[in-house]
Amino acid sequence: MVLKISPNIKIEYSVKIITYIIGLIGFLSVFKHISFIYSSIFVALSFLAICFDYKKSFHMPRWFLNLTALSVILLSLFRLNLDNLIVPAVEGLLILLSIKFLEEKRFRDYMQVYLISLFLLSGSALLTIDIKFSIYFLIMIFLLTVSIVLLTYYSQEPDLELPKDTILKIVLKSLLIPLISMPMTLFLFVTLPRTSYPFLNFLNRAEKAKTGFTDNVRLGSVSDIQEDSTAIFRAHMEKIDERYLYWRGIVLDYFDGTSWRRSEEEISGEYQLNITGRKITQTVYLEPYENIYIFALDKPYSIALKNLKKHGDLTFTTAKTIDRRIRYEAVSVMSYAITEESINRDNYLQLPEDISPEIVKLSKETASKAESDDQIPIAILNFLSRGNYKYSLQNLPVSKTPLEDFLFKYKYGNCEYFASAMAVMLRAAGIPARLVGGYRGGYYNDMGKYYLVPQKNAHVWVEAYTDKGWIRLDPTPASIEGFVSPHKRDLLFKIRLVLDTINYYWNAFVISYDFEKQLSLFHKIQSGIRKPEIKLFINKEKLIKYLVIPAVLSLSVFMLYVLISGRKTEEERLIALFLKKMERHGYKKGKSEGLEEFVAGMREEDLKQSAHRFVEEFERHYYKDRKFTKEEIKRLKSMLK
Amino acid sequence: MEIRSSRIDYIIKSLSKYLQGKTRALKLSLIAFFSKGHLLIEDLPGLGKTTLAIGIAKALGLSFGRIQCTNDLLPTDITGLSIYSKTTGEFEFHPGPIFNNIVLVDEINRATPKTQSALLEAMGEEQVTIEGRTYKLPKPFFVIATQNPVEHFGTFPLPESQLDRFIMKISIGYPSSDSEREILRGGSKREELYSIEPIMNKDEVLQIQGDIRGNTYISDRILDYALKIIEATRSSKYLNAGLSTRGALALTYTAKTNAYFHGRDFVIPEDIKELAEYTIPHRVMFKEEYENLNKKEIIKSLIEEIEVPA
Repeated sequence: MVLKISPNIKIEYSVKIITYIIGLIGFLSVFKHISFIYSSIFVALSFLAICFDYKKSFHMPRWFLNLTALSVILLSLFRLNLDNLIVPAVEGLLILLSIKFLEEKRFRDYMQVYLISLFLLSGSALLTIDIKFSIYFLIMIFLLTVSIVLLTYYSQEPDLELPKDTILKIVLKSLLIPLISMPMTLFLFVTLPRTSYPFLNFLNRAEKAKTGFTDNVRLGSVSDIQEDSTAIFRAHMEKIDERYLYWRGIVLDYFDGTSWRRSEEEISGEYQLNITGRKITQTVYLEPYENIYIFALDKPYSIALKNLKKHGDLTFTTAKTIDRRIRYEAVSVMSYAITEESINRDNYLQLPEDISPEIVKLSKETASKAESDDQIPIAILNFLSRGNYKYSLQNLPVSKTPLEDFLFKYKYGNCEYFASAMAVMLRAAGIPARLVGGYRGGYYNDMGKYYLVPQKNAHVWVEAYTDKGWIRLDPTPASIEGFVSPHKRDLLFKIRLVLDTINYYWNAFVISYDFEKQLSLFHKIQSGIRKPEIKLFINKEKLIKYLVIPAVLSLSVFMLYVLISGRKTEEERLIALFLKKMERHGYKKGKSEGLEEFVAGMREEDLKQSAHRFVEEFERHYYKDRKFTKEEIKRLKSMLK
Repeated sequence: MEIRSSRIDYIIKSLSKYLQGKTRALKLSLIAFFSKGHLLIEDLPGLGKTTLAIGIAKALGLSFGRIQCTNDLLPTDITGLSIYSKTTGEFEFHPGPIFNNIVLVDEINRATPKTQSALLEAMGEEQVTIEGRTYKLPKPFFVIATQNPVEHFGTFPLPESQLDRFIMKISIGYPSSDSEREILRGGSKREELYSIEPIMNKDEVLQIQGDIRGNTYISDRILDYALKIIEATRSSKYLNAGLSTRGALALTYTAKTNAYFHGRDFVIPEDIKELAEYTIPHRVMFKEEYENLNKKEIIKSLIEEIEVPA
């Protein structure tokens, strides 16, 4: 009596489902980095494949799929270039994966799907370092193990059906395999040097330059600024008043009419900086951003980082561009002003020669409205931030006289316009001023106790020199909300925040587990090993007894061996070369076989003749005990070619 | 030194016309001759030993003598003797057949030991002493002795010590059927052989002999090789006694000649190896249990064990 028990599951189905999930994970891991077209092609083809598999009615002919796959590979090869290796490769792999899905799958096809998925996942590791990778990785490892075990059953008996319980048992037991291998992984995890830099990312240099911080503020060259919400740095610190969240990066002091830059000379030689106030210590995790400026909360007092240069205007630069994630401790003082005894006034009053007289006039007018000289900066600040000027990132005036257009014509712009206008007006009014670039605000993550500062928070403000010293003035009217709070306080953002917290800890405790720590561990181990040696050094006699004598003995034995065993003479080397060559032709000389006898046994006439010529020439010297001259050896060697 | 290997090749080629199928034997004989040694041919009668000897003598322009050994042959039958002359009233020396350049001693094992030793002494010393007077044998002097391996009745086999005096021992063997057909068709060519023009003369022959002995280079590497062979014969499990020093000399002398025949003025291992089966087996004593084995093969296998210098 054959009765089909209903909860039986065909093993083929489970293998298929797991295979699709594995492919999906591979896809998800790279989804963010590839172009939309490829993603949609993949999704469409995979959907088609699932339909085919479900209905079991139709399979694409294999030759057609293979041909397509080949052309995809060729196409990807075509798209590869040195600047952009990984993304096209990943995209090509993705399409290959979807083609594999379409095929009528046999054992090797499944294996290929797994391999491609793994490649995709590895590809994602090349593109980014993210905690998500480890999640994908773990899921994939578990699924792969299960799937391969099931696949072995399937390959033995394609129509095998197993009760649900059995399958569950198999799955659970397969899960043990990666679990058992974990301790080994852990060991490797601790011992292998880790990097805070995505492996092989240099292959991918052409990544679009991140908008945000720049070391020269250029006005009127772009009309739209894209907001980039990727993080530039995270600062672990206490939560402070949002009004003080200015992250100082660079000071710009020279204006040429359209752009601000840093003048070349050292701004102040002997600086007597005096800043007083509450000290705040931050631990900053700075993302690689291809520049040399180090950010810290205004006003940074000291930053602990190797090879750091502190400038007179309280900016800090590294010697090399920051091309990997770095971590540093910064101490900032929440001071109202930077007191500086003497400044180079000419430098901070510099104005472009062709400055519009209208701007000068406007500055003077605005200044004259101030009640006292102290109030001039405030007057100008109010004029800009509380006047008719609007903050905008779109349709910025593109022109050769951007400042004039901003002040008199368009009356809207981004922080760069506001700050530039203010600095110029201050200077025109006779007050030394400079631009300070950096970031403004940031989201405080209560879970991780850190500020997350995204690229879009890049900001420029002004510092004016008054009798109190340098004071910070921010003319940009944008509400502080835009810098401190997320645009959308929805669930998605909260999830992202949680994920960022995980990422932060990952960076802080795993990736930033820095080289020094590994080095110190290494030193500890080393010193542990060294101890017995130290004792030997104390006792010279013992040292000689245990080290020098055996060393000398073994060395002399070795030398003797070399001498006795005999270095090969030139002739011997030559004949060895000849015999080796003949061996390649399939002739091996017996040890009792004479050379001529050996050559005479050859069948190929050409080979025989040339071999005979060599042998004759060789014997003429060898058996007449004549030394070979260098030319003769050369000639004989050339005969062997 | 001018290597006249082409002349020797020419001799071999010319004589081959009269000695169908005996080219190898002829060549070996010439090697023995130019090595200033003596040759022992062990073979059945009627295979062309005499023809071979005559051919060599004629081609080289040398005198030829023949001694047919019987058990009543006396030493004086070989060496010659003094006979009283009536006319002069004195004893006149009548030289025996040994006073020729090339002497064929047929069936040497049928002569009595006394006669044998007289002959062998002449071979070794290249002189004979008769009635107190010493007569030098002509130069070059080459003895081709033959012995019949089958007949044992009434023979006196040469002792090993005497065999050692022959530089090589060869056998001619039956000719191939093609050669034999030729012989049957044309009949014996011995008569024609007597009338051939000599290719060399005595002086040239002596010159070549001197060149081979004196001007053919033998490297220490080859001497080491030869010594290894000698040592192998002395320590072989098949042999009671290995090569004597004279035997060792035979190896190098024949090797030099072989090299000269190949147009070389230096010896290579093959020169020794090729001739080993002719130079060694008759000089060594095989253990009784191996007496019946093919001696040449045993010697060959010994040599196969020895590494060549290069």
